[in-house]
Amino acid sequence: MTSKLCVAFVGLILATASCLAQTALHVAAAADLQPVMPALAQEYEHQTGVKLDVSFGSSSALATQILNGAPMDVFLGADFSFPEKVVAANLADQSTPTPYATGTLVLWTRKDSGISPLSIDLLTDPKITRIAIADEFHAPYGRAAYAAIDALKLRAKLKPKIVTAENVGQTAQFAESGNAQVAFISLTLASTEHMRQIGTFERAPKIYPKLTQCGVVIKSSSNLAEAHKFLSWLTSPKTQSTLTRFGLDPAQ
Amino acid sequence: MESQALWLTLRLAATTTIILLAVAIPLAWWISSGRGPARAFTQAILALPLVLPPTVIGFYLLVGLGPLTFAGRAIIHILGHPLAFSFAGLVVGSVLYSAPFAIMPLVAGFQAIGPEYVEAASLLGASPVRSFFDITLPLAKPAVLSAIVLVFLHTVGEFGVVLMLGGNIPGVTQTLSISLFDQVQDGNYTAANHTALLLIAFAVAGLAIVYARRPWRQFA
Amino acid sequence: MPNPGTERTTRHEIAIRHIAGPLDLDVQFTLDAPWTALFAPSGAGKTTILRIIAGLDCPNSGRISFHSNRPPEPPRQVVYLDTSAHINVQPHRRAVRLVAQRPALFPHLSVLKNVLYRMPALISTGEELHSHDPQLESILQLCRITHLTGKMPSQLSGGERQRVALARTIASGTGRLLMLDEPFTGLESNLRDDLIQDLKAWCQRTGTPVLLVTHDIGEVFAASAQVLRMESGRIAASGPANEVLAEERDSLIRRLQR
Repeated sequence: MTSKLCVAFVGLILATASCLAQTALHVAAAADLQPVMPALAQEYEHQTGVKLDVSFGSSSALATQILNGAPMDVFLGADFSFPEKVVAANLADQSTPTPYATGTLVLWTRKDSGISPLSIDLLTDPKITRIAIADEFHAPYGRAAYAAIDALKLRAKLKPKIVTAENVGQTAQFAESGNAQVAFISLTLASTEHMRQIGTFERAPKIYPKLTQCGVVIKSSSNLAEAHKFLSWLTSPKTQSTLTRFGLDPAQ
Repeated sequence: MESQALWLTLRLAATTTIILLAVAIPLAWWISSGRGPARAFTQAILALPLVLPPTVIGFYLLVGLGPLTFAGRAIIHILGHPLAFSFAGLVVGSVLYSAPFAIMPLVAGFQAIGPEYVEAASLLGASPVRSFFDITLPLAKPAVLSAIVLVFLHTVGEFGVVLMLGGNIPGVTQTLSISLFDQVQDGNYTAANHTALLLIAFAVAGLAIVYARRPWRQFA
Repeated sequence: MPNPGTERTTRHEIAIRHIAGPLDLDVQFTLDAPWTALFAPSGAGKTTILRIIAGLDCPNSGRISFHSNRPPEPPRQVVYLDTSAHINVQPHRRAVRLVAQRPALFPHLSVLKNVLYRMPALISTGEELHSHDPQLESILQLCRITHLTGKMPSQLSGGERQRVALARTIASGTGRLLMLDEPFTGLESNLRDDLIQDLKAWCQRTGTPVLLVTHDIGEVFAASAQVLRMESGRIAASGPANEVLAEERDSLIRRLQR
């Protein structure tokens, strides 16, 4: 009896595993895509029947994991450099990262924080004691934020106030919980219904390098064809024109 | 950079150990001195961090004790700043996270002593507090040492709580384990190896202290 | 018998009713003799009674009080336990001392430190008592443990441990009710008899009443105690030893004469 149960159990696991292998793509997506992917995945599955299993993280964390063999099919980063690392390590199934969107950096604050009007010049105000920024080496939006601050020569003045988050999602959380008065986050995160309800945002002046978000198909994927199909779908004119509702501009 | 993280980690572990011991010793004494639903419930609550993911603890400290809550505002009033992004916040998180590692050896240690010694002391006129310091605590020395080492080591290795709550501020909340995480993400594997070896060395040294001692029944 | 009104008298009045498992106790007695022996076979509940008097356990119902009559002071009463009035004084506040059956010597302290624990002189001055202190020396001699002071409890034999426990207890305060729970088991009879005589003298000098719990009639007679004989959890008889224990004494003599 026990051996029959064991066989049935193992069979169940294999069946489940093969099920997943057949119809799902593993996508590693940068944290700023957190509000975007669920809707995109739903549409994609509706159109093609292929399911998307998405893992989120900072672009750096995801790149590191892929470099160390994480079984991903597609990597959607928040910039060019991190997908490029995957290409440089000869782990991508293409010669150069594919741009799929353009990101926008915003400054966000809670409605009840009393910080108004919200602007990057206001950051030096003593009323603002904590500014949340994603790690500049691990998250492209963090790097962009620092670039903006540097362009205004404010880094030295603001340094004591800055708290560093792992990725842009955690950055938003620091401000959402009120622990930081303002946060530099992505437009995608600031555009969610929840964030619009509890906070306001202001686009940062375009004094930072363009956030060209790129993706790559991973060479070791067991679903290369499907992976390429997804990336093509993402960069197709039809899909590109729908990105603005999420807070992303088309890749140019 | 790394020596700053090392020094910070040691400070955090030491502070946590001192505070936790000061709280856990009387608490463990109370738990081990009798029975009843209150004691059982307290023990269960104190064991919770063993099974709770550290990130959960960090999350609740970040949000549940953040400036938006009543408790959080009280904390700001007392400390002058919110718990998050501060050394004090890390200490609170570490105390909660390492509490089982203090309470459990202490309760076991006190219970193993047996009531006859404290009874004998009280029959000689020693009050419960007196007999605790004269008899129970000296006989429980091995358990106290275990608790100290375990809490210290556990705090040195803490990651999830610090990640949620710390804000990665060098010298304030950037501990060794966060350093390690950053180094790995940056692809700086040499530095990462150094940091990892350092953390392992701590663990080995500490466990050697705990396990190399003679078994506690040295007086039997 | 002391002349009432002219002598200083103290007595303890004890009433205990307690049912626990196989034990069913219902006893009332007064301790007013220098030595009283509680005589009963093993398992009769003698230890439980001592623990209750000491305050380590609480009975279902009972009353324990200490009365002193020392003219010209007015008579005094101290109630240690009164279940109906919810009075239960903690053990360390009761002026009773108990030498338990299996003495719990503090394993981390030397014999000398064990004996010195809670010695009043030590507590009041807070200084280390010189081991040549006369009171300490006389206690060590009385219990025949002078040669053992440097040892640790784990190095002692059973009989030695009992004597150290006795020394520790009488060192911690005189003039209090001293309860001995089969303290002389394991001692050879010559030593035991000498010890009892010396202890009797000590207790008389210091005005310390003794409650001795035993099932050995030799000890009872050696101490010439008033006897409380317990049967089935009740006091069946009380009086001088040669009356209450006449039967046992006679059968012992008959056995010895065979």
